[in-house]
Amino acid sequence: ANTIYGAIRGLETFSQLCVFNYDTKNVEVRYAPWYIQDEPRFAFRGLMLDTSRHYLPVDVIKQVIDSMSFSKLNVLHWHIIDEQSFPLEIPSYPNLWKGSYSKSERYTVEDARYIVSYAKKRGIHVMAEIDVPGHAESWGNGYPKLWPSLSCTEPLDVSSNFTFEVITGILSDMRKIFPFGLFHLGGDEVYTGCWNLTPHVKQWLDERNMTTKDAYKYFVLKAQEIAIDLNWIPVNWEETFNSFGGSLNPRTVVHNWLGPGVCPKVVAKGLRCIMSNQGVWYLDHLDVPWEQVYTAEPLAGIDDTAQQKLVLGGEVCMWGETADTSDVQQTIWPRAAAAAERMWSQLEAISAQDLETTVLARLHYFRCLLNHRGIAAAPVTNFYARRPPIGPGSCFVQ
Amino acid sequence: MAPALRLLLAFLAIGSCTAADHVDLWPMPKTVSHGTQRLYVSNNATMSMAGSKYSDGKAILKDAFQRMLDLMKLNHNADGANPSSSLLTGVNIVVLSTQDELGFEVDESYNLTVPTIGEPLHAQIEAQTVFGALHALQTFSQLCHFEFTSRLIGLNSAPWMISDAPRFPYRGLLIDTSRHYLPLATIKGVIDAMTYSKLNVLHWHIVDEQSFPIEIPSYPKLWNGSYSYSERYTMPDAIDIVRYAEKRGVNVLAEIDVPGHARSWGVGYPELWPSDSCREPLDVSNNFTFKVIDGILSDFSKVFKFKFVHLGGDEVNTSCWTETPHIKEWLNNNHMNVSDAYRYFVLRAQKIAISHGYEVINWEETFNNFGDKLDRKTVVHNWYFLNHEKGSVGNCRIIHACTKNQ
Repeated sequence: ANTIYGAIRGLETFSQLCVFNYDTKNVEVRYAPWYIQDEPRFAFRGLMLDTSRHYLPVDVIKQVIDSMSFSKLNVLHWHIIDEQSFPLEIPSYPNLWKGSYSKSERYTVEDARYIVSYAKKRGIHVMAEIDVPGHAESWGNGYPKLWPSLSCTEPLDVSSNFTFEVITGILSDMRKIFPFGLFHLGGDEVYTGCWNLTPHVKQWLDERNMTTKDAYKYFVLKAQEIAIDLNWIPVNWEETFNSFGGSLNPRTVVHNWLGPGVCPKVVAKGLRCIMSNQGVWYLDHLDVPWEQVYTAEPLAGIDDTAQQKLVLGGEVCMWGETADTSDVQQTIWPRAAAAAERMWSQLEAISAQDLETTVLARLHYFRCLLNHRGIAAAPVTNFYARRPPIGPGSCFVQ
Repeated sequence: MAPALRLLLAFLAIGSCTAADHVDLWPMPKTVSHGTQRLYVSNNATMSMAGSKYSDGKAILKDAFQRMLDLMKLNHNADGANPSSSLLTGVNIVVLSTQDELGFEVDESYNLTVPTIGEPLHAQIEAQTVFGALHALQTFSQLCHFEFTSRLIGLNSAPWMISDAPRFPYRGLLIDTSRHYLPLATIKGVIDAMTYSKLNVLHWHIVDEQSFPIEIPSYPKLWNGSYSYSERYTMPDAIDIVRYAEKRGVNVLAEIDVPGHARSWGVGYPELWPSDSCREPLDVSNNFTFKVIDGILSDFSKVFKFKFVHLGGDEVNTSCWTETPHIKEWLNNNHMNVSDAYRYFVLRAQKIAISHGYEVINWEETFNNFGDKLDRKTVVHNWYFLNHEKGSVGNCRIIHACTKNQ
């Protein structure tokens, strides 16, 4: 391998060639000799965890990282904070984690570092997200000044310098923890009502002849500057592109989620794209069976090869509103594996396979392997995700 | 600390409360009293056994103590600076009996004291056996929590005086690895979780009609009835499970359910089926059936050291016995109807188990049908649904209890 990370992938493949012989009680490799050459189709193969809607203990995050390595996913997108809770310690602004659900549903700085190093050992990057200016209600628990007002608590107060001081503090603290080159700044679902309704913010807008839409753009770009100054490439959810794509910093990576057909528009404008089309790759959408996950194509609608290169890859998103420790792994697996193959395997390697025979058999085998490795991957053939098996049966057929 | 504050704290510490209030312990110990002081557990907490008759040769306590420390930290770095006072340096464990063999009705009682005075300050566990001490360590771990602000392991509401013993000696959980194969890691996870709630019998319903996953050296084709080549347990796997459980104070009760719920046996040995088209219960007329049962129990006796074995005996649908000619003939020759044959089967299986040193547990139908004929030491396992309200939909109460036969 060229790098140790290639070698790590090689070891994983090797481990999948090995089977336990129940008669001789030895571990064997069958159908030798093997010659395998491998490399990923996309460099960014992500899984997003949401630890704001539900706190996930460090042990659970570690287990998710382990399971990612089994299917060669390589970016853990850690959506740490959102409106419901702020679980991470921020030394520059120590009151922020008062927004955690409870005193014990928290991550220390050391926890975060530990997760990063645990992932790195498995060849997995950690991309942290600080979603601004929407999805940030929890910030105000520690610093109510961040809210437009006590009765109108989102988005973050665009008119206040303090808001950007806090963002700078958070990002500076995070720069010491998260070495990955990309940093996610969110920017989705920004409901600007409170900016218009709150007098001092309205005044600030009027003084600058800004609409709330202008202010949204102003906020996002200003946050991007802070990240760029810290030597990060900013990633933003697609609304930023849809609203003011031409103004985004040219380094921006646009994260598609709202639907299909977005990355083609993004790369046509020369920006890079990550695909997470919610119709197929949102894992909290339980009604997407594995076949639909598998056949989703990040390069759909992009024929120009130069533009194709701007699609960094994709990401399956495990939003946490309805998933917690008790069921997060069975919600993620085995469907994330379907996406993982889509992101890793060359089309030529899989094009001859038939979905309902050869691919299904291999996915069944992989699901049972996950189970054997202690990952609670759900039955493959249920229509709805994370449903229990409907009756007795072998792992390989359910 | 200001003198006035120190005095106030001392005053508060003296006043104990017996409490259902701040006691976040599960299950609730027999008696609990506590105070109001906060202590910390040292980063380098150690375990000692001063005064103990038991020497922990098998490292049962040493390993449990390490597991407990890991649990208390829950992956956080507990590296805050140790405070100068209110610091517990460790746990001293006094075990009065040298016995370290786990068995039914072993003494599981313990006393756990967490004082606020003492130099050096340490928690004290006293137990009759090492298994009581294991429970005490679990309880201690539940008193502790990781404190995010100080990065220390804190222990609130000291001093604690806890005296505990289980109400019942048999506190079981059944897992079914026939309807779905459960990997070893999963079974071990269940065992760990059992210790957190002080359950102490893992009832392993290994085999049933759908699959036969375990290796039986005496009859090696039996596990051809597994769902697939890899959904199997070797004998070393079973030994591993028993050992893993034993170290944690959990007994393993193996079940071999006969004569019903045994269709999977015939995949390896079709002669065990009444006929190819009528596959359960096991063929009562065939001596080979009982040879196989004997082989299974003989192999079990080398691995499953719990004093009981479960022989099932539930939900026996005998129609294949009357419909299969050679069995019908056997019944006639022996002047038996199917009820007699059901009873004959269960009792003969019981005798085989007893010959291998076991005492027997059977599901309640055996008692309901011929209770007075069961071996006198049989333990009857109740399971059947009871509808308490006539005409109400879905109002069931399930009583799972192990009651001794009269």
